[in-house]
Amino acid sequence: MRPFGDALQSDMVGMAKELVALVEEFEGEIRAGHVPPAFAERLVELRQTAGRLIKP
Amino acid sequence: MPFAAALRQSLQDRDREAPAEFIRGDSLEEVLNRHLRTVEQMGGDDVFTCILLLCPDGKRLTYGAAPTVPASYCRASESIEIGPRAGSCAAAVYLGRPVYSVDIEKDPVWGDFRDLALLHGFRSCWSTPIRNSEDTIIGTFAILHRTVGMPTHEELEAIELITAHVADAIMWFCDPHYFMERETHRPRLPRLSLVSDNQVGRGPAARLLALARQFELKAGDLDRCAAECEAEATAQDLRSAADLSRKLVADIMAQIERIRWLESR
Repeated sequence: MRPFGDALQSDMVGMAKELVALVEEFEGEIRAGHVPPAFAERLVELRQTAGRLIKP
Repeated sequence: MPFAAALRQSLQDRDREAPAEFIRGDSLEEVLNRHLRTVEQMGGDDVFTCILLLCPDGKRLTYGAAPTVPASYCRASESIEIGPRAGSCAAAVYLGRPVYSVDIEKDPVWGDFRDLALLHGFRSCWSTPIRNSEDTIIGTFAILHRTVGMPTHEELEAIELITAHVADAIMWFCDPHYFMERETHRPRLPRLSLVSDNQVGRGPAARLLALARQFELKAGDLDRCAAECEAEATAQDLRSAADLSRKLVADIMAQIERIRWLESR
């Protein structure tokens, strides 16, 4: 197991930011009416979890 | 066209419309309200319909739809405990069979809600349990009238028909897979296969699929990161994010199946 060093921290934060960007892309598709608005709750949950990783 | 045939036709039309309504994001209440308005328009001025849904604990009923029942009545009976004296619907679930209250003023079934019903001018109520595919009660369909009386044979047939269509709508909302499998006269859909990236942007299903693939990849990355992380709280958040991503993918795939099934109709 890798120590929880700066490199891993940086990886993790980057990954979480990518996840938030993905969530935002999805939300954008919903707002634009391209996909049905049926996933809002799950997206909020995901954004919150990713947010904890960005700002522990 | 005779009433029964016209009602059947109208409800079949609603069956065709409801999946598209769910897919575009309409709530169960909105869809059921349209079912009930269809019924009320055909039933005349003295027909007030409502659907009550059984709470997950199986002990109470709450309103699923009641398009023309006065809001003050619904508010005052918002959460009804299952039992033999809390109105026709609570009794129908309690007894596991239809309960036709011919005269609310005299029926002991209405012990707890008699004054409320009479205050709003309701004099009779015919309630029937709604059952899912496993024959479990999931709610009730009721017709309230401002006059006393028993349902006629034709009305009983109509109630049975309406209840079946309402049950279909609720089950579609809860589990579209059941509904798809039930439609045996229609060709079964092939399992979903991945489409190529050049289909992105052509429609909701392709857009959703593209997003699903990205979340699936991200879930794998998050899991790998969690496995390497020594800080337990952070690792847990990483695993949670991976898990949520996969659940989102599962939700997306189910939605895609709904869309494709609808497109195939």
